[in-house]
Amino acid sequence: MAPTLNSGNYAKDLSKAPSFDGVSHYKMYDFIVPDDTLIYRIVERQYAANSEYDYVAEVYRLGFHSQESVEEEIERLRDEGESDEEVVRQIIKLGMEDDSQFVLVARFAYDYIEILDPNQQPVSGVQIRGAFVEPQKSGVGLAGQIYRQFVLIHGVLVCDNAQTEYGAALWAGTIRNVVGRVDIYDCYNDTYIQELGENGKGVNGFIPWDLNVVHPHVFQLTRWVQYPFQISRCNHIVLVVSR
Amino acid sequence: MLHSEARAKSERSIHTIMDNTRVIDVIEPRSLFPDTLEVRSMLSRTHKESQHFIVTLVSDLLRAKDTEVVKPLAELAIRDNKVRFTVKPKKQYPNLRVNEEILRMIEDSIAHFMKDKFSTKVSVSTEMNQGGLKEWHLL
Repeated sequence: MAPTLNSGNYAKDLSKAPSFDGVSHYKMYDFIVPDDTLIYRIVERQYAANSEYDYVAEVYRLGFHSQESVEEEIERLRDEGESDEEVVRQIIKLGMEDDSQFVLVARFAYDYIEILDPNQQPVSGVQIRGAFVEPQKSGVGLAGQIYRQFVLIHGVLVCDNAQTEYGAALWAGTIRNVVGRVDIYDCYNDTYIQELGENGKGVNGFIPWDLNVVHPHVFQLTRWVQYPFQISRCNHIVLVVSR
Repeated sequence: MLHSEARAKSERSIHTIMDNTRVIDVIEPRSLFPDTLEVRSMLSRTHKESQHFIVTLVSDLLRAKDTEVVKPLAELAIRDNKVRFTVKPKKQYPNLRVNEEILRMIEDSIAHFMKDKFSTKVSVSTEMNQGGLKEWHLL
């Protein structure tokens, strides 16, 4: 069910930038990782209606002319009790960014989507179509921090109808942990099924993933080996996190 | 609904701990801290600059055999040649008394690891020194 879990040879290759014409505009959003001193910048480009994706975002880790003094300033602002949003604002205001030290760490593609909220009112958001996080930067919740920003920017974030084992694990674990409540949603009937709970199952037992792979299948992540995948194909099930 | 504020990743699946980390040091229980700590490095992080460490409690790993969810005592990374706590013990286990000596031992394990594996000298936090001094006021 729910998002379909595909085998490893299904790749959303965003390790290279997709090229499109007709960028209508781009926007930038900066954020800091909680308890850490790393500041990231999301550069989001929106494309014309007939493009392969509506949006592509690139995420950079910012570098500064004096890394050490910026770090001290971050600590000082935090000690004074400033919010992380305010810390970022103040640091950027210093104008000490050094473009030559920026590092591209992730790239995401997503589309505009409309679903119904729990009160049956239409809401707009974005649906992830592809994600790439630089392997040396992944695994500590960075994708979750970026997804949180997407929710703040667009209001609603929806997972893809098909996922890799890693994408599914991100939603089953990290997103619930660092972003917020995740709900299981049926796109055919436009209804919420239930909240996603522990171990990739709904709080009332709903199993949101099916497995679309050639047998025998070797799992890349052991967390899926014992998972009770749905028998029937259900790629109309998605996961939703909203503001 | 978003969590009210951005959170550091405070949980790990037992599979991540088992598949993607290796124990680089064990800190045995002591009188004020009766649990065994394992300092783990993440196997997927192969570059010197991107090293990341997870500190687990052995009692929590045993518990996680049922729940599958591990709550690390702390996580650390190398920032600017310094060892830095990115997930703090005080937030993870507010009721656990983790004294400065333990924190220092964790940082030292990591500094040794960086020296052995990458021939890099990383410094441990200076705040710890000051905190360590306070420990002597046992009046």
